[in-house]
Amino acid sequence: MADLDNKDKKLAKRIAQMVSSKGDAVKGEVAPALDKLIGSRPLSERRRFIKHFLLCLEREQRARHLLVEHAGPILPEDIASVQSEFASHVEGVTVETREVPALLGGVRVTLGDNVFDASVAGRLARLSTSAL
Amino acid sequence: MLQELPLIIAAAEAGHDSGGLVGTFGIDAKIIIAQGVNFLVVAFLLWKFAFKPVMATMAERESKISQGLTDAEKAKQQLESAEQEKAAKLQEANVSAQAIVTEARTQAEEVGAKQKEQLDLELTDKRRRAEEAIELEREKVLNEARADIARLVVLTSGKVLEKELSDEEKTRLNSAAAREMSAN
Repeated sequence: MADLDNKDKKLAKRIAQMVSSKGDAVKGEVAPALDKLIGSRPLSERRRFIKHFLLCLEREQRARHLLVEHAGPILPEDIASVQSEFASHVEGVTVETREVPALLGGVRVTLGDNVFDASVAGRLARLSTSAL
Repeated sequence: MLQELPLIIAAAEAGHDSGGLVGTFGIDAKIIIAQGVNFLVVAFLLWKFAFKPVMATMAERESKISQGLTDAEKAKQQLESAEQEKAAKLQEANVSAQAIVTEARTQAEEVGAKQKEQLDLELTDKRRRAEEAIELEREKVLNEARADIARLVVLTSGKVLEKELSDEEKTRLNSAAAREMSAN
C-alpha cells in the first residue's frame, strides 16, 4: 500500500489544524471541502487520506487538551487563570481537571507532550534529583 | 787362525829343516796347506753366501731400526706438538668458555634487571588501577548513600506533608502554583 505524498500530508494536517482550532464553526465546511479535494480520487487513496487526516486530528486535539492535576480543592478562578494563560498561546484549548492526592499540593498541567509541574511532589522530586 | 797360519808353516818348515819340531808333532805341510786352502774356500763361501747376506740383513734391520727410531722420534715430537696444541686449544677453549660464561652471566643480569623493571611497572600499574577502582567504588557508595538519604528525606517530607497539610493549605498552594504559571 503506497503512502500519501507530502502535498496530501500537508493538506490533511492543515485541515486537522483548522478543525481543532475552529471546532464546530467549520463543521459544515469540512465535508464539502474534503469531497471537493479528494472526492474524485480512488477509494484506496481516499481511505489513506482520511486515515492520515484522523491521525493529525487526534494529534492536534491532544496538543490542545489541557489537563490540570491538583491535590486538594482548587478554586475555579485558578483553573480559569491557568486556562487563559495557555489559551493565549494555543488556540481552541479544552480543559480537564483531575485530583491527584500524590501531588501533595500545587498543580501539574499537561498540554500535549508538554508537562508543567508546579506541585509539591514535583518540587521534592527535583530536589531529590539535584541532590544526587 | 789365519794370522797364525804363517807361523805354523814357518815352524813346520823349521822343524822339517831341523827335522825336530815337525817330526816331533807329526805335521805334514801338504795337509796343512790343503787344510788352509780348504779353510780359505770355506771362509770365502761363508763370507759370500752366509756372512754377507746376514750383514746385509743386519744392515737392513739396522736401517729399519734407525728409521723406526727416527719415526718414533718424529712421532714423539708430533705427540709433543699435539700435546702442546691440545694444551693451547684447551687454554683457548677455557678462555672462550670463560668469555661465554661471563657474557651469559651479563646477559642473565640484564634480563633479570629488565624483568625486574617490567615487574615494577606492572606492579605500579596494578596498584594505580586498584587505587582508581577503590576510588570509583568509594564514589559509587557515597553517591548511593547520598541518593538513599535524599530519597528518604523526600519520602519522609512527602509523608509528613501528606498528613499535615490541610485542605485550606492545599488550596493556597494550588493558587500559588496557578499564579506562578500565569507569571511565567
